[in-house]
Amino acid sequence: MTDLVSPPDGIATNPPPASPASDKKIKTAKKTGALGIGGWIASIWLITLTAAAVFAPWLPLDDPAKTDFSVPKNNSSPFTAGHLLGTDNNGYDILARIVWGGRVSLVVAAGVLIIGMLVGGTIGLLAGFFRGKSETLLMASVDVFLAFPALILLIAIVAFLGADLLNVVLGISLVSIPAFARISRATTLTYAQREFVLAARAAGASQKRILVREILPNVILPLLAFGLLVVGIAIVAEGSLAFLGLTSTETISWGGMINGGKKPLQQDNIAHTAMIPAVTMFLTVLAVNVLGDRFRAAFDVKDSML
Amino acid sequence: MAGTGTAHLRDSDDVLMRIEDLTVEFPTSAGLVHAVSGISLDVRRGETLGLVGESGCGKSTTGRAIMQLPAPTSGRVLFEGIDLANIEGKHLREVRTQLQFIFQDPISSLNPRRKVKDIVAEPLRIWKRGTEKERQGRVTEVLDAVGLDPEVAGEKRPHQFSGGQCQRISIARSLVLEPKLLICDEPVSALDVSVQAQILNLLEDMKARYGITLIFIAHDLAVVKNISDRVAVMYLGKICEVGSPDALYSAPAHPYTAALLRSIPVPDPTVVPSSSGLLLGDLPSPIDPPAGCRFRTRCPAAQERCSLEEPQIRAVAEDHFVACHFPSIGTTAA
Amino acid sequence: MLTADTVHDGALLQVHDFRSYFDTPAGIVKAVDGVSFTLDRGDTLGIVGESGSGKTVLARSVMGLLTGKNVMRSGSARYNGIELVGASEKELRDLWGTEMAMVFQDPMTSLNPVLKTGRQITEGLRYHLQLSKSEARAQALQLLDSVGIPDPKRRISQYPHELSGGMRQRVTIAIALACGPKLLLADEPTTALDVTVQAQILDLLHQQQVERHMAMVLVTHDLGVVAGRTNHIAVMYAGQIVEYAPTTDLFANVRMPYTQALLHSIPKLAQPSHTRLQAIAGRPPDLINPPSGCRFAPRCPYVQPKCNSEMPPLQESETPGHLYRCWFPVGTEAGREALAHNTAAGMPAAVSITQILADPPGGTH
Repeated sequence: MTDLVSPPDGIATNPPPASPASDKKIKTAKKTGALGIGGWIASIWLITLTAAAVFAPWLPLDDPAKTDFSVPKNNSSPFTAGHLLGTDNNGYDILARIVWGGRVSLVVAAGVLIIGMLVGGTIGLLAGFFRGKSETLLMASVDVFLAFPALILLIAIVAFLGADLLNVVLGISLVSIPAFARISRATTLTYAQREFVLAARAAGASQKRILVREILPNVILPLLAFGLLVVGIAIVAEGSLAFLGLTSTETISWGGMINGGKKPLQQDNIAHTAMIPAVTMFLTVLAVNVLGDRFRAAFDVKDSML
Repeated sequence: MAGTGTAHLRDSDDVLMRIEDLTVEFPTSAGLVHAVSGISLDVRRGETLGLVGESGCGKSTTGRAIMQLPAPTSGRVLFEGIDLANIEGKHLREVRTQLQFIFQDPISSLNPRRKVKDIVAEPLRIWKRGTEKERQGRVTEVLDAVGLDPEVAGEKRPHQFSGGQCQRISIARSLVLEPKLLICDEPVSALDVSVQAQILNLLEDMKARYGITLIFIAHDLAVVKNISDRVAVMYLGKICEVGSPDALYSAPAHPYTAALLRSIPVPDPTVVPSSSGLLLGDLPSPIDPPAGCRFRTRCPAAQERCSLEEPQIRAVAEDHFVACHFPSIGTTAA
Repeated sequence: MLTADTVHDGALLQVHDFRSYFDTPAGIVKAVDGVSFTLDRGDTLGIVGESGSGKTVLARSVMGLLTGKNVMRSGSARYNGIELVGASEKELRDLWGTEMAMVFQDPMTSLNPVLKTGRQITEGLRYHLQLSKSEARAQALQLLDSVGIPDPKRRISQYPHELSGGMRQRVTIAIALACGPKLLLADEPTTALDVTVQAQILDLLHQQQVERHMAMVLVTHDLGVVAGRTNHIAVMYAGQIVEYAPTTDLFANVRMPYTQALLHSIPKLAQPSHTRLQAIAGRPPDLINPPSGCRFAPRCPYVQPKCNSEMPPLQESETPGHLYRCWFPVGTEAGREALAHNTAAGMPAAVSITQILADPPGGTH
């Protein structure tokens, strides 16, 4: 990637609009180039996972909280009859728990994207656009927040508010706000200095209109790309909380499953109970990161073409 | 304090814009930057005023201060007799639509995420001019006027165009509200010479077609001469010389103007570049500008008086004014 | 054989049928497509063209500075008999700095912002010439003095951001000159500078060149910059040299319609205000699929059907050493007929150039 040299001196790599043939060429190049094979695999993985999580109650799955006493012994390995991914030491169906646990990850992801991006993004947008005292105030409060170690803060929030899923999501979202605020502010700053903002002002646009119509569309896409990376971190954070036993044991989550698989792994050398949720989480976070990267690269290309 | 004087201002009914004693200062960590220090200018209806000088002379700051973006530190900007510094909020925004701006970087001045037809229509939407259909008609008209195919160009985004075409889009956007004054800040300096000629010709055409007045800010003296009816030369936040282009270029009165003209490489190999009369040294800091005449530290004709007393603008010939104690034409200042 | 290709003793740099292509997602960009020229010792060649003409790519890839995997170089570029195309990184490194050096457009980005100017000059001296620390410092002070930097003792311990733009460009020139190169490639060395500073820098380059008997390639978009300071000029368009001539002859007897159009598109100080400029309509061709005929044909006021189908070769005019790439050259009977034909047909570009030629607006051309 870094080895590629783009022709300097404004060589016409994007051909003049007069030649439709080469226009087409660029489009096809873009189609395969934007996502790439990795991006496609990541998308398919995430879409499958999301669909399964959303439609979990209607899928032909075992009850994830029901012990199957018909299996001769707990911790039966994958591909045993009736249990594609086997069962854990409680005799629960692992596939069902992976799918239901995916719901938690999904909620965490959505929560972080909605709360973290909305609140953090707005703070950054306002700070970057209005500058001055409001910026100092907003960013100072964000900085104070950032100064706390995230995990300790999370643990404190969960301990203080209780360990149900809502509080966990709230806690992780809250912790992600400063990062969103910083990215959003930095992006806003670069665009607020562009002359098209001045041009809008000269055309008589109000501050609100400039913010919403000129700056927001430019900030939102890089922010979304960053959001995907944060989602990856958030899924791991929820897993860590569950693994540490800080979330409710009632909730089925991948982190909780890894925690549950700890004992069989250590005592009986049975790996699959811990490995299956761990690999699922790893693949999911990887997919989210790959997609976030591709997403960001796609916008960088667009910016460099300007 | 000696301002730069107002001898060159004209008392006439057809003055569209009059700037008096305009001062712009920015606080920085290193100290107060005196970007523009008490300049006065006027532009008549239909006239093109060229504002020329090197980087750091305050020409772009002047252009933006006229638009109140940001407002000047002090001084008056009178547009059709209205002092823009005295009006605020919606009224200012409304008056400002009659003044439009064209920037140097044609790409940075267009929002990359919007379609061209939306970029050009935006000013009309802001002011809710006409119905959507009328607005579309107007957009088609101005795109056509600047030489773009409205059908094809309207649906595209800025990155699909070359620099010259982006500058045409910028011009279309600035014309859509039918402004009276167009301030062009280095509109052609990012463009190739062949494209530069296209844009300069286009500006002349638009001026003739829509009867607009231009303030043309640039560092290229030949470009400024080509388009202007009157030229003002700036140096370190002050005006050095004002006059008709033909007079000012053929007989520069200020030593700075003369040095600038001598520095320009001429596309003619029979003219041997001479290193005599070139300016030495660098621009002094605008944080701590020289006392007296600001050009004296690099001026070949500087004398003691120049450090003690700031020269006032005065006439040296018909429609030719200079702020210098010892100009090369006319008499030594009294 | 063409003059530009023939071998002779004084030649320092001989470039023959040189090509530099870029493999991009959109296709292969033929940025430099078959360029030949010869540069003698101590001479100055101006390469003039608009953005996208390939002038910068030419200068950089001849030197071997574009080393990306997607850069394809072919043809021949011989420096002092050493073939540069296909040379290894190590072989090139022995030439860079000591034999050939480069001055870039933007001194702000070509200087390292976190190193003091002194360190940036002495680095090459110590690496290539194996000077001791104190010798290198003494040499650096002398260099700074020779490029016109006042108070070199103070400047040597300053960082680039503490210097003005003109001063920075003087430092980059000092770095380029440090190891006494025989060939200096100056890529738009004054484009980022103000006009009064530009004059200082051009003077400095000229003076250093004469003193050191150094050859120089001056790449620029500004015909004014090359007019008074070069022996030869190569005009580039769409990756090719379209006209190559001794400087005085180029301006006196323009043959290539593109060069003529370029000269007429520049506003000149001698012209009165509001002189209508001769713009070149349209834009340069797509270098991924360049036209098979003359690459300037779609914008040319002299264009004839032949131009669109057959690429004209570089041919020599009656002046030795003046080459051009045109079927209907300016100032010849064929050119006059082609222009008259197009003017009669009402082609706007032809009409306006005919007007300008009939009634030169106050200028020297």
